[in-house]
Amino acid sequence: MSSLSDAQYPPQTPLTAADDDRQQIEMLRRAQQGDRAAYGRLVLAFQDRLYNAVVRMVGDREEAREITQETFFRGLQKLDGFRGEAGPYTWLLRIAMNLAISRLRKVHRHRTFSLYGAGRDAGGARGEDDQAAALCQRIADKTAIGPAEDLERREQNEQVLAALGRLDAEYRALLVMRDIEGLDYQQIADVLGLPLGTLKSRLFRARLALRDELAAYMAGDRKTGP
Amino acid sequence: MTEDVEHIYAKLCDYLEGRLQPEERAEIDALLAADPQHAAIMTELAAQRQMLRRLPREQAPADLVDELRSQLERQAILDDAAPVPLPRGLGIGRWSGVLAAAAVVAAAVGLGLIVYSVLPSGRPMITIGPAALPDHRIESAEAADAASDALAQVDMKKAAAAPAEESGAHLRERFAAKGAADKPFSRGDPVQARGGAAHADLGVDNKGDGALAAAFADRAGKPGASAVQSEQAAPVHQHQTTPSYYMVEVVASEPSAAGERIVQYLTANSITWVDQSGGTSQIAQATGLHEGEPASARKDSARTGSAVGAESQRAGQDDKTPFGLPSANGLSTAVAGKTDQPGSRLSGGTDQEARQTLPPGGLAGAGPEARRGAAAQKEKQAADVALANRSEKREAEIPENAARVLQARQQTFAAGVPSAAGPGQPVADRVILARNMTERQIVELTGEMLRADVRNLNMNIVRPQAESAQQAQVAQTDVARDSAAGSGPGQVQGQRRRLTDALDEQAVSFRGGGAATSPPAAAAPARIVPAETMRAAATAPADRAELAQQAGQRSTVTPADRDMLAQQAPAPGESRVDCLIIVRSAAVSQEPPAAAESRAVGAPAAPPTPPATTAPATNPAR
Repeated sequence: MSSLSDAQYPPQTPLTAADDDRQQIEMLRRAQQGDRAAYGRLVLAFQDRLYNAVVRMVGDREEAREITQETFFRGLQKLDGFRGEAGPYTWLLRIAMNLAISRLRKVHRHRTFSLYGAGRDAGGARGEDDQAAALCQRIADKTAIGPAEDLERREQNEQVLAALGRLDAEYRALLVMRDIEGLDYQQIADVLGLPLGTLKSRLFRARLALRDELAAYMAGDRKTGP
Repeated sequence: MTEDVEHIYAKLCDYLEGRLQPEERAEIDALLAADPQHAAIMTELAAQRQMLRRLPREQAPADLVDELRSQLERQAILDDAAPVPLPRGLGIGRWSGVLAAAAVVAAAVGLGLIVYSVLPSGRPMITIGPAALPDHRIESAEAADAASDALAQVDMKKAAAAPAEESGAHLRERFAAKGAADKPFSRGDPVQARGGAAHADLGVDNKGDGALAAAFADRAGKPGASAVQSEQAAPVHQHQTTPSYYMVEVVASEPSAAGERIVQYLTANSITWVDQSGGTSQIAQATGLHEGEPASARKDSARTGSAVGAESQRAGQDDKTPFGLPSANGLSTAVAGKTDQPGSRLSGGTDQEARQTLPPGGLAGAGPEARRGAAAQKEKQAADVALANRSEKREAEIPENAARVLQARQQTFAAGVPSAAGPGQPVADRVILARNMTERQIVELTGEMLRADVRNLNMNIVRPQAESAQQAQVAQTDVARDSAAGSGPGQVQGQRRRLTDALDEQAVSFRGGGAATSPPAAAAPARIVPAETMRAAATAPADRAELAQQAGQRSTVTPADRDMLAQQAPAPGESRVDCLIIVRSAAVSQEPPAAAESRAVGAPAAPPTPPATTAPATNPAR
């Protein structure tokens, strides 16, 4: 599972980065046999990745939380439906994406939220302020950039998230799964049920669409950039 | 072309991600080098991809797992508490909903029936008579209505197929073919079936249990066995002690024509009626009072309407009058053919039918003792009639007794024995019981009679509303037409005026029923008492006094009254009452010609009016 090796967050799950799909599949098989603890380990392993993908999709933390929880719940109900053709995370991500796309189609709105706006958002999820602060701190630690660059990065992220929120749900899902979650083409094809060729062309179209959404920002950035 | 675009896009996607082979990448690099704009786009896309990858990652809420665990626990609890799925046939489906609705409807109907049977009904009773005679009532008003409906349906079809005259003759022939009166009815005879149904209605049985009786049992919602009771079984009755009926007395010099007109109206309006003349003719036959009885009356007595035979069979109880009342004036014993109990089969329906109640061969065929007994009874009855008439006349002369006398007259009329007739006189030329008429129909009937070419017509419409005569809720309308005034019988011939016009030109007055406390005011203007007021007076004591006051006044019909009457179209739920129509000959009437005397337009032949309501009717409009 090479895509996971690119994860930019420290592993917090019992599964290490070295765990491969075989181990995950074995854990899911045990869950299928009634080992709830095995499924719990999978939940702990995938909750952050799944939540991150969903929150980028729906643009709302609370909705992302609900969808993530519902994804695990449905995954447990549909354990018998897992045949091992894809990885457990791909299998769960497919459930999550379907739920997120359905939710977006239902509400028919585009959401973005400020990366630093969690504390300002009324009614945010519990610990959002702490999460945002921790995230900012983690990013700061990772990047170790200066204040001016940090401010620029914040603005850039907000613009990207805003542009991502304005995209069509399918395009958004492609970009989230490929560029944010780092899934490979085959995994994305498994989640969306698309042929690889179609997947690539649509992914390129999604990028062009995002470029259109970021055109104004990119033009300004180029003007103000070095 | 589309495929080429898709292929190029796919290749560019791989180019951005560095998945192309070196030669493919070199090819694209060469193209981008030739086109700086495209190269700039690819650069932007690569930068955009890096921006996406650099987006901070969100961590799942700390309580996500706890929430998931709680959700799983709730689901587990719900699963445990979930009822075991029922088999498909027992599950809640659309049929269960239908059944539930049907059960609710059935419960409501059942409750309604219970309440209806327990509570006193406000419907007009079929029996005619005072409340003080509780033992002579039909079994059930509902059953009577059901039987009448059933009979009406059958007989209306017959009436449509054959004229009434033929129908009556046919019936007589059938009865005659059946032989002696004591011969039990055979099964399957439709006439007997009707009789069976009617007897079932009344709680008596002539042992005719034909299909119609069964149909009636079905309609009445009762088992046939319970509906058809034994002959000796005492009829059970319940509510309805207040008499509510109309009595229309038609006094005409041509009773036959008047009767024909009445029958035409009833038939045209699909009103179930029955000729009760059999009772009177039967009395006449038994008592010898039929001397001088018009042939038309005897002929008419055999005719029946849509309910032919039903009422006569219903009245076949030896101790019951057609309305469940005891016979009046002691004229009942001679014709008690079925039993030895005193009582008149007053409403036998047809002469032939009446003869069936006598011993084979009639009185002539009876033994010497029977003939002597019959002769003695005739003498006694004649004496009783004369005594009763004299007594009634005396009492009627006293205003305070007028209502009571009227009540007595109504009872005797209901029994088919008019009190005004003396010995040797026909009691009535024709007695017709019309069932379930609306008030408007009754008024229309009077209009028809007024338009008819009937000489010396005088009509009394009497509707007692009181529970007793003393309460004086008796309103009587005299509709007198001077057909002979100036132009003779043809005066109104050809006139087809509306009822309102007819009423407007006729003297219409209401008289007080002889209330002891409010004798009729001779000159006070009066109004037609609206039907609503009449109905209300039957229940509201306060209105009764007002009604009595109104009834004590007199005047002509006002336009408002006419409109009210004209608009009283029969409507669902409108109260319907039975109407006893008595056609009498003016030549034999013993009643004083009060109405004729009261007409402003002089009438050579004064139509008589009943002696009980002796207040002279005047017509101020004339």
